[in-house]
Amino acid sequence: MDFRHPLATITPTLDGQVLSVLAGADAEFTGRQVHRLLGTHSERGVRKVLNRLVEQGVVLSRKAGPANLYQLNRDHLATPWIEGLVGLRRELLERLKAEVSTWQIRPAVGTVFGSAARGEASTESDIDLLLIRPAASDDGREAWEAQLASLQAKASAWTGNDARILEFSEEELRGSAGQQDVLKAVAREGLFFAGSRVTIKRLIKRSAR
Amino acid sequence: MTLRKKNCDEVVKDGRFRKAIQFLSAAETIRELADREDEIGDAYVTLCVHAGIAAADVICCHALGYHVQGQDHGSAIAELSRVQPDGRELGHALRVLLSNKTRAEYGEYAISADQRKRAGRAAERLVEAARQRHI
Repeated sequence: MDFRHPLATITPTLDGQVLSVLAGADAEFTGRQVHRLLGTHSERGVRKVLNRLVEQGVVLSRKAGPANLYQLNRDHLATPWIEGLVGLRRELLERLKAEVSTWQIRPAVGTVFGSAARGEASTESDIDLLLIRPAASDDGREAWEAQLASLQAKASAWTGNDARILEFSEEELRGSAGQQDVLKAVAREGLFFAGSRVTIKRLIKRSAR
Repeated sequence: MTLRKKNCDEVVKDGRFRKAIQFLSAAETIRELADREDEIGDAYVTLCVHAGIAAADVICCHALGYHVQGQDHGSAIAELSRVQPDGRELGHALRVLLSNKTRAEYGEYAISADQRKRAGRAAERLVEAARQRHI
């Protein structure tokens, strides 16, 4: 999956990117606005796509003075699927959240970080997951590792990208300044499916002591 | 009232995002350092309000290509509420913050513990949504 253009999972054309912009707000856009938000391709090309989508009925158009205004047709049969594809990154987080909520040993922190979190990951990118094992869970070491292996396999299957898990224990991070860089990156850009940014900030403070 | 819009480029988006993070981080810092949270309540909420407004600008920039300028709070909430799929909740969070703005900044009565808590949550919600769209 290409996290920059989730609709590319079904269409590699500009149509998918234009639909992503229109799906982002319940608002009318001029062709120029859509082009500016995309920041790519020609304005003429964007207008051609918009008019093609109007023909399909999935985009509505009306005249306002000299301009044409375009809006995603929220009543169209195809719209729920378009919105679903636009929200694939959110769906991934929901699935990760649901998965770890069933675990016997739940992580103190679970985040997606790196290029997938920044929305920059292409089909070639790995999906980086950071999981922090809670304190006093040493007895369940085997169960914990089985959970991680299962999550890694599922996240790869859900996206088509290789999922890579980086794992620490809370004890390991306490008093160790060695992981400051990765923790700071997670605090800055992580998308959390377990724990929160506050937990990470606390761990950074503790590990710096 | 005419809607005052400011078109956004990457400079505007980056700048507003940095401020959202900075204000929220400052709010968290003064809360952590305070002996008693009620003694810094107004300053804390004011910083949360600024964080939330900056975050709302980033979200609008991302989805609409502009953000609302000026003191027209109703329009700012309405524009944010148009963002999909979570605009309604985000608009509500901004409303929570803006309803506390005057009392926290200029009023003679201190912000209550409940208002403080709600403002903190609303600012975190908005900054998180901005982060997901910006990074």
